[in-house]
Amino acid sequence: MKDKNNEFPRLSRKEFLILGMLIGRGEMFGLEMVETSEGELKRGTIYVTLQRMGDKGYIESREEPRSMPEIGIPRRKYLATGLGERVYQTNVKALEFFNSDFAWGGLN
Amino acid sequence: MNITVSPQLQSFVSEVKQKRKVSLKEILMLQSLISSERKWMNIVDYFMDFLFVLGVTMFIQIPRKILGFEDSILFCLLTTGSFYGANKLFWNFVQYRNLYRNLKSIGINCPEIETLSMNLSLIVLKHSASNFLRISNFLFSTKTQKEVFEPIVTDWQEEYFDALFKKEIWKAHWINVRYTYAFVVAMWQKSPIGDLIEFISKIAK
Repeated sequence: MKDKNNEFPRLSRKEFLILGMLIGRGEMFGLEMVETSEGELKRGTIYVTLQRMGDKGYIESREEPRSMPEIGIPRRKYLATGLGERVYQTNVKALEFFNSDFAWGGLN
Repeated sequence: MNITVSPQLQSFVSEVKQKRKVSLKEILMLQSLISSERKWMNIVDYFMDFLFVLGVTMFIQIPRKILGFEDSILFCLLTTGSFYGANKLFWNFVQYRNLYRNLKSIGINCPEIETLSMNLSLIVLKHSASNFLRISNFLFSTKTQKEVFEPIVTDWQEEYFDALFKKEIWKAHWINVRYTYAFVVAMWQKSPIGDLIEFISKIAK
């Protein structure tokens, strides 16, 4: 039977970008991420991606209560979880290894 | 449904609130900040003015002509002018009422405006995002509503009201177009077809 822990936790480009931002900058709002990504993340897709990442346990979110003069729906802030950080670091290391001379030399 | 108010607009509203008397100019300014439909409202106002004056003038003048009264031009001007004034006053009340409702819809109570208003059923100008939320609320789960659609609407209103505050009307319209598209894309992605595409692309990897 296949061991589940042997499955490599792959991240999509968007997930990789989001996790990178959350690990590097800490808690962020969705709109902040869209603006920081310079066009890589879109307003229509970011929250769907964030929800899926939340379901996988890579990130967690909390509602940020509005300060007194403001009213309306509370804004949501996102933060990478321990699992998210681990998956991100694994992907970074895998990518580094893939791009290293050692990996290419090994193939030759 | 709550409508998000940017801090700048909020401070402007509290400034207006602090004054005992609110001038019509300020109200119109506030209304233009809250609603992007002001131009349309003005056209309706002028048309109603015209209809009212025409109707009243005909109502008074035609029977008088039939009865054989020979009215002077001054009398005609005075009656028409006074009815026009009364009509203007009436529509000012309507605008107060509209403003009061607009403010109430964004969670601000202005009793001083309410006392000036009349109990009339009017077009209440709402931000279009509220209708989108109603649709998504009907189609999707509460979790999806909270985690996907509400944050989109929050960002939408945030950017929209900021643009209105800076008097960038075209930008505000553009934001509406942009977020309408974003909302539709999110709905598509959260639909069973969107989930299926996500599943297939996952397998393909």
